[in-house]
Amino acid sequence: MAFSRRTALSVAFAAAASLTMVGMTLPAAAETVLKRGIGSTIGTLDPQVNFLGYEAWIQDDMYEGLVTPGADGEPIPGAAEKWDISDDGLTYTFHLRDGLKWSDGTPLVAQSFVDGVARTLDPATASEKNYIFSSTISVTGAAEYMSADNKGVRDPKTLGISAPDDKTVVIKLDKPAPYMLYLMNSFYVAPLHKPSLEKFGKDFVKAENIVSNGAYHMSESVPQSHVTLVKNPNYWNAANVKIDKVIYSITEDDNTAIKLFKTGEQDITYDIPSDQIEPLQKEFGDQVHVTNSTETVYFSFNLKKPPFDNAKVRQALSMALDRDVMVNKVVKGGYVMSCGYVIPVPGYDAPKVPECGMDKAARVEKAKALFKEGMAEAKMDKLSLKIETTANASMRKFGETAAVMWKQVLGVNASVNSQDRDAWLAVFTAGTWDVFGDDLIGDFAGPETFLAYMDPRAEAGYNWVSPEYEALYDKAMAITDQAARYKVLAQAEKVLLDSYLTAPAAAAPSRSMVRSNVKGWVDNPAGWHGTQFMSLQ
Amino acid sequence: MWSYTLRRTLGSVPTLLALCVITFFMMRVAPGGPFSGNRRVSPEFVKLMEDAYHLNDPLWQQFWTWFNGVLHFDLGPSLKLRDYNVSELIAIGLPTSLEVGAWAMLLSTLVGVVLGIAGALRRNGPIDYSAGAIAMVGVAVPIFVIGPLLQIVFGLQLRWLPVARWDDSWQCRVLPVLTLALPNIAYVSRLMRSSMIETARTNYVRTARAKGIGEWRTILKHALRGAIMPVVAYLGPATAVTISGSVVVETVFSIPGIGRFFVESVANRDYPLIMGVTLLYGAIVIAANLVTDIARGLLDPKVSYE
Amino acid sequence: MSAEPAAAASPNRPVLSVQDMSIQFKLPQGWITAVDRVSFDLRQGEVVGIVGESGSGKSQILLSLMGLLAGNGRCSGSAVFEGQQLLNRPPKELDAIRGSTMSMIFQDPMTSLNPYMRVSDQLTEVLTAHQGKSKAEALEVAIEMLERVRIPEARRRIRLYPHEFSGGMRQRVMIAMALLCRPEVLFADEPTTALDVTVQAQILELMAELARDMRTAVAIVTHDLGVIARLCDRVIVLYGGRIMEQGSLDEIFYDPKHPYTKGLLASTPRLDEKVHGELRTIPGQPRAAMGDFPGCPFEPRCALRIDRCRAEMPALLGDDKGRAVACHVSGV
Repeated sequence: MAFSRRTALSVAFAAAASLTMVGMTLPAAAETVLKRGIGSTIGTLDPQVNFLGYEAWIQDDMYEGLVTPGADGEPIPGAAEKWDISDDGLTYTFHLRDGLKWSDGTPLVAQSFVDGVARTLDPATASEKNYIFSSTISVTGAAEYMSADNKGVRDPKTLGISAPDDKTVVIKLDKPAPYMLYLMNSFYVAPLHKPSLEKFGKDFVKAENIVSNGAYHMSESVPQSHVTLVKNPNYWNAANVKIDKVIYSITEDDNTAIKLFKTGEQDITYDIPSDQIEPLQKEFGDQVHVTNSTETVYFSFNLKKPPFDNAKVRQALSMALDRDVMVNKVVKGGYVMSCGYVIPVPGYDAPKVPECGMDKAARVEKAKALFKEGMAEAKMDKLSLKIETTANASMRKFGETAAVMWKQVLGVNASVNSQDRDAWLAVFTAGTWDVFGDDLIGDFAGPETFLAYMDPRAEAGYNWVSPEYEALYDKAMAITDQAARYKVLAQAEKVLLDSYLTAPAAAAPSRSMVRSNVKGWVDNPAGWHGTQFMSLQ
Repeated sequence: MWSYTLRRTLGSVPTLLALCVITFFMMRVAPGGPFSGNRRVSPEFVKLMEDAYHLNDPLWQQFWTWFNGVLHFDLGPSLKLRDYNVSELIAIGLPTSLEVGAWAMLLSTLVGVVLGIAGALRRNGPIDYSAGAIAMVGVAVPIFVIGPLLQIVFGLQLRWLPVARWDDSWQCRVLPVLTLALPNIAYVSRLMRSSMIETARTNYVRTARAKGIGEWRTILKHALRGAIMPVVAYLGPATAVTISGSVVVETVFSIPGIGRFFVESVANRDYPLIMGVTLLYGAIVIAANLVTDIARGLLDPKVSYE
Repeated sequence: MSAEPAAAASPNRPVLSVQDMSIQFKLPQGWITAVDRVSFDLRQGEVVGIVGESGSGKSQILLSLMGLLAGNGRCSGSAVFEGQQLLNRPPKELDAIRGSTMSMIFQDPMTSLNPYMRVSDQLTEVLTAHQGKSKAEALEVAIEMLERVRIPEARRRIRLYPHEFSGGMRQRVMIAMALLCRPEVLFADEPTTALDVTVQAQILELMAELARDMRTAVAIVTHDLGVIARLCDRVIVLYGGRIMEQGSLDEIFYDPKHPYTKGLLASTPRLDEKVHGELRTIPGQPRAAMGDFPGCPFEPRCALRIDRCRAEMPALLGDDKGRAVACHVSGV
């Protein structure tokens, strides 16, 4: 192996450190080990239950769904080598490869995929991913299956997912879902190894019991510490998997993670503290990866509380924000200024709020004028408001900057209430908020998932009524051609932006340090970085 | 002495019970719950999951179910780390935290006592001043500053010790134990010093000197016995300080201990884990105080057990 | 006239010979003299009492001889014991002597015994340190000594802690502890002051008996003339850090020469007097920094003073049998 001059010492150190850390003897041929950080605690490694982003990474290495997210995040054939889509877009037939095996060598059949989805939907499993099958896509019978009223016998035959033979999985939908393939990866559709679930119960995900079908297989899991995955020889594509072992370490303290990167004890970090991005870029150059994620940050207004029920007031508040200063000068940390609701998606021509194009003086003047009019219509002369944010440092900065700007431009008495996440959500549910420092993480990197959430039928807490939006959204979802669909979705987004239910702020970044000897890492908003596509030089 | 221990242990049960009851009801005051963190999940489904874990039963009933479990040594499942029971998590995390804590207590007691004695015997000398400087740093600088500082110096720049790792090597224990021990070294050394100075002035130490048994014997046998009493008394509360400090050390040095579970369980509203760890911490603090009291009784003949 | 108390006249040679011993203390205001050129001898088997008011520096004499002077004190002069100089010796060298051939008992036995150690340990460590005895041997000797000082059930009681003894018994323990190695010289600093009167008498009787039996020379410091009367062969009267008068017990009590001595004796209430009026006192207060004035320290309070007394310190003059007075007006 050729070591690049620059990282020779780090890699040598990393190898030595990793060997000490894992405590295993050095194998005859040097084993390639990748050390990745995974942020804070893993909730669960139960494939049908977990739903956090970093749990998805481990899941992606350990299991394979019908499709696999490629190195760039786009779905490529996984357990299924090809699939047919019916003309009406309501039936998907997946054809599995020959000779698929579980990590223990037993054959993997299509029924296991059906079992996996059934278990996800079973209320007894209490999986927070079940809504994927009933609302993000509408699998026939899913909503009833997962409903509490359907106690007693749940007949999987009522579900729109079935395995007519060992190599075929058929999924029936009530509504077309053109983005379906994004949801057919291991995070949503991992197969279930029934024998081990029956034998070990909840413990079937422990390292000594677990049976998986992905490129890697779990050899060790210590809560709060690390998860070790080793190459799965029974994976159909094992020949192309170059890294022998990957260790995911829990690094809650981002600053510690950066130190670990510097000493070579970690190759890929989970995040980068926002105040260290610039110095790290100076020191490490392109090993600092800052890219868009599927998270969008925005301010929501409570339509049920005067004067936020007045559209002019809302628009004025949105116009009063200097997004360039807010995002690029105050918050920084890789956040990208946003002029709309949806994150930047290639091929999607997103609408923009008009204030993005205006020069500062004109924008401020318009904001003041609108505010005056709107407040008069609402019969109020002074406005005091509270912005509810989480305790996250960047979200707090967003809130505080908005408060200052609203005070400066419009004379609004604004304050920020930053609290822990659960309390923040509770305030939203209670409807006692004025302005919500809001964010949304999409299920995949496409406009559909964002606009689905802002559909008035989806989140009642916004109290938004817009039959126009609903009509446009439904129309778009019936279109299978992506370009055409995107055009109609853009129209729907414009309706949202014009209503000023929300004031756009920024697209949140995904940040990682990636050592330069790690090949195969491709930045993508959905954040898929399967280890099977990577190699160490 | 054994009956005293038994009585104290039994007497601590009401304290633990009160601790559990107060914690149980207080943690419900915080808004939200373990399953309410995901906005995409419908409120009906949240309720479904809560029902599955009996979170919507009347509170006293939930408490009784939990308490009943405790009596059978079952602390319940973790609502967030769903692959594990609370007992399993404690079994995994506790030995680690205890190890770091025990080393830190041992180090801080030994170093603190030695520094304190040295400072008292050579008052205002170089040892006394450096001990005083260490004490000031240990008390004034919080451990979430000291920890990363040590990481940078010894881990990043000198590369002598690992930055943040936990395995069987002794190297990975040095920095966390040192960080956790430093505040206690400070307190113990100052306490020991003033206690030693006071004791050295007593009449019985003068008598010991007058007996010509030698200066070392006088210090170590006569003066130390009396001077150590306040330090022993301090060790009980010191254990509590060390336990709570372990959270920071565990986060900074990535140590899989029980402290981190605890802090996260509060943010996650993981009720069984919160209760389990609270009970555990309460028991540890009570045990530490009991051991301290017994030690004082053994060391001071004027204390008797009624 | 010679100022030296007779040395070779008596058949007993002095065990301890103190010459011109002065003690000073460093206070914020400077060095002050507590003891000014005190000289005396101690002969084998004799009991010498040093009497004076509180704060007259008498305890400091004993402490300095034992090497226990406080850190801010310094002493000068000479004190020869067993052919060796005692003053200003490094503590390590003194350790061989103190506790074995020269020992001391202190005023308050409760605080002077280590409350955290058993009495047995406190006794045996003297023997193991000085005589190299084993613990078992030392224990037997210690028990025997406790019996000697009349502590009942000594074998059982020796294992107790000091707080489990009464005040009188504790002082007996102290005495036993000091006598374990059969010292040549025993210093006693106000040994009965902290005890109540009935116990005082017992202790004094015990000390007298032991001193006699073991032929130990005793220097006892006290402000209580009753103690002096009970125990001592010779008396030294100290005022202002200087010896004012010295002599045998009878000479001092029945033929006092110095005005201070007379005043002391006169102010002691007596059982056989008729009670009338107030207690007699010596007018005035002891003055601070007494040794630093050129004249007689007692001069401000003396009824017999003359001008010379303020200007010039009277020399201690006496005969060669140990009787001496330091006064311009009265003489031997």
